[in-house]
Amino acid sequence: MELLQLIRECKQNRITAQKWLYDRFAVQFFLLCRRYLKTDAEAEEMLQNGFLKVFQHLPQFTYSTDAGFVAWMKKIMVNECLQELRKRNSFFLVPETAAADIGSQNDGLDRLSAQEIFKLLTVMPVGYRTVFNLFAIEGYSHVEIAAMLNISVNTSKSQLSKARKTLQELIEKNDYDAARKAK
Amino acid sequence: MTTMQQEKQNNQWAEPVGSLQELPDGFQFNSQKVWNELEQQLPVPSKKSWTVYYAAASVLVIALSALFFLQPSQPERSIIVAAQPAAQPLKSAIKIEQQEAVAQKTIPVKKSDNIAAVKHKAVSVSKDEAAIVTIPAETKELAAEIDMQLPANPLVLEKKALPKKNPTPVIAKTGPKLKIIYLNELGVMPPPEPLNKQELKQMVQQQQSEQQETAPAKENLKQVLYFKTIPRTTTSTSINNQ
Repeated sequence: MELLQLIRECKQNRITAQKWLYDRFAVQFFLLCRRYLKTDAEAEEMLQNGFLKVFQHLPQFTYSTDAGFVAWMKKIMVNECLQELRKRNSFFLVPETAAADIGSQNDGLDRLSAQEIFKLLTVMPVGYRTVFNLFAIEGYSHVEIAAMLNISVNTSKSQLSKARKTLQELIEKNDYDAARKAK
Repeated sequence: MTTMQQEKQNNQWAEPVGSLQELPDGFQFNSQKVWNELEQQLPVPSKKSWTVYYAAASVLVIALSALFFLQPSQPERSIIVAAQPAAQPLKSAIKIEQQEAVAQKTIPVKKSDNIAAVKHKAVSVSKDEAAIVTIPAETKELAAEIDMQLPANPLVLEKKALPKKNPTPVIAKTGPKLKIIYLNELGVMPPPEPLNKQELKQMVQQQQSEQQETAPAKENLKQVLYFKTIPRTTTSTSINNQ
């Protein structure tokens, strides 16, 4: 079924169409929520809340393209996750003086699969990976991230630097483990 | 770091993560459980609006039907049953066609000595209007002036023009059953007054208009819908034709 038709029927609160839409995007958005939250249960809860908001606000949504609709749903999911993180005060904020540009070291990233990259992201501390997710994967700027997380721009930058450094270490460790297994 | 480098570096992360459509090992996602909980919170499609529309439509149909079927029907014509008290044996019989023609004052009525057995289709004249008319000489002169033929029989029942203020018919409106008035119920009629020219004209015009009104009443749509036949009444009227 086309996405536009699915949206029309979801606007009429047809449960079959809502189930179709859920099945189509459930795994994708679960993985999105899991990148921000620590456990699978938390991610499931945020996924549920996010879909509920999608169905509730769908009548106000104006369809333009499929990508636009997916981006709209993704934004709702991200906001749900951030709201939950703010509620728990889960951000690990480093002092602004410690913020330094680590550089763009991504050696070894090409050798990793998508699943391995995903696992590395979920291993990082919440503060690091939140900023990293928003900046590197969702594409927000530091100004936007600062506004969303209610932090300063420098804090956002420092969190990103720390995240990159941590990821670099994890990649190196992953390479070391892989080499050791190969031996 | 330039913006281009930054975007390139971000894409190295975003592309593989964004394209991930399957759960990596070590992650568990119970999709059905989440849906079941979500389904309970979803708003139920409201059928209330349809119910309201159906209720409003049915009320409207009922109201229109009631208005249509309960509106007062057109007044049906009652029966002319009036005659002179039969003191003498009746000598003439006038068929209904002839009697109607007499009412129109176009065909002179033949004299006859038989008793009338009249079958009449719903023609009405009120009790006050029903009278035995003896046409005086003045009236005949007036009729001659307006170029009209008077019936040869002076005792033919005629509808006399009355003032339109308070018509009090004996049977103004009849239901499905028509009440029959017999001759002996009418009592003694007052002696007729001589007609002047204006009254005679009114009498003729009123009779003509009555005949025009009677025809569409027979084709009343309501009677068709009710599957009712047009009431026909057979009366036996004794007329002393002298």
